[in-house]
Amino acid sequence: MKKYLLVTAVILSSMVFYSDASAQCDAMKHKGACVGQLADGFTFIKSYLLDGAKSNGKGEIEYSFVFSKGTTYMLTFANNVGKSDNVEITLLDPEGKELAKNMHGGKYYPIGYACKTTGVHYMKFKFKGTDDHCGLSVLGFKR
Amino acid sequence: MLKLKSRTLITLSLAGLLAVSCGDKKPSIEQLEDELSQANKNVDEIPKIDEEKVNQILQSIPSPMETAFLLKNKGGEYNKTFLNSTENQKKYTTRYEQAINLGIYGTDLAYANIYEMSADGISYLTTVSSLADDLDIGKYFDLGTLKGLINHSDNMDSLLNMTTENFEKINKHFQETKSSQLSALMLVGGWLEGLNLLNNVNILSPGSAELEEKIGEQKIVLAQFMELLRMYDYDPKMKSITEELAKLEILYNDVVIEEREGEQRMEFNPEMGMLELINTTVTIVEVSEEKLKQIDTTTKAIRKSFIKS
Repeated sequence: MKKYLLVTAVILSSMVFYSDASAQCDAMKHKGACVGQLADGFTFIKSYLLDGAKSNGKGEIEYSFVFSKGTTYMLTFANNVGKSDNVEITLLDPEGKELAKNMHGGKYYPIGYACKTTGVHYMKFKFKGTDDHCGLSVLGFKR
Repeated sequence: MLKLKSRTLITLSLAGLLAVSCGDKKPSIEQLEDELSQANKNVDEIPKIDEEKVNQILQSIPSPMETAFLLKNKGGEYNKTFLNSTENQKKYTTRYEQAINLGIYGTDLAYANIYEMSADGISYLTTVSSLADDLDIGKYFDLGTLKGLINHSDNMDSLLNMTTENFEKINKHFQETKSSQLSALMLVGGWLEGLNLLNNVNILSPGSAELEEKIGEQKIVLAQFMELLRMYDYDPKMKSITEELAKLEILYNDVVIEEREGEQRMEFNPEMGMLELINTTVTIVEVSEEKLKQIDTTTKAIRKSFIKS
């Protein structure tokens, strides 16, 4: 009986933890800072909540966006304390082929992309070097 | 469980409809009864929607602001006759009509703001805010602040940022209240209005390869919408809207989008503190003059049915 109670308690507590983890990802509060990282001339068009509770089996949070030929995009990001760190971004083309990653010299940077191929592109976000899997990314554009 | 959820959904819909009936633009009792009776009729037929998939597609749709900026950068002059008259707002009494036209007016608002037409900007902002009130989402528009930003052209960035943010909040609200079909309709309306702007400018100033290509590449966005809208085929009103857009889908079947493979590399830009993707792969869009005319005619016909003009 005790064993069943223990198992039930573990399941319930893990469910509470899961829902709490999701509820606690309030990185949208950093949207202003993330939009502020967009370079001059870029206009904010989308924000993406990076909630680790919604990641796939590989720990990636995936979004897609129809990138348009002739438009330049910039993708910024922030971790849960509002800093541009701990978020690995992988940009993929419509066929799922990797186009870019945002690491350079051991640091993570925003990505800029003067797009010449209209199509649904994919963005995969993965937290690195932190247990706090909550953050935000912002997409801006300029023509 | 599914049945229970469906009944909860209907209860929420009833509450929403009653909330709408308290607004300025009251639907008639007959219309409300019609919507309710239809909803009740289908109460046990609502299939489970993959909300994650819906959200993915909704997030993938580009902003109509890109279109408005393109038109301005191409030197196209501001033309108010392209837009949906704010006078039409009183005609939109169902939530479906209100959501579609919220998107249409949202694009008109962006167009007016990007051309810095402050009087029209305020007029469209007021209309958008009023429609949002009808949909019980007026709280997401800070009308006073937005009006102040429209009146100061040096605040363009803040204005556009705040408008985008307000529409994001509305989308989130619709999804959280299990009304994602309203998000879909709002985006469809915004996109169709953007396509109509492109068509209008292309007809007035023909010969721009960039504009023709931009119209042709809407095939990709339309495909996203069709995948999304077909998830709601159980709803007769949503299905009728999907069938309208399917007329465009047929035309776009003849638009060819080819990719010419190039190379890609990353370059670090220390001044801007970002990594730049240099990609020489290009897409080429082939769309005939005849097809562009058909797309224009069909877009206008669909839009006319949406805006009830």
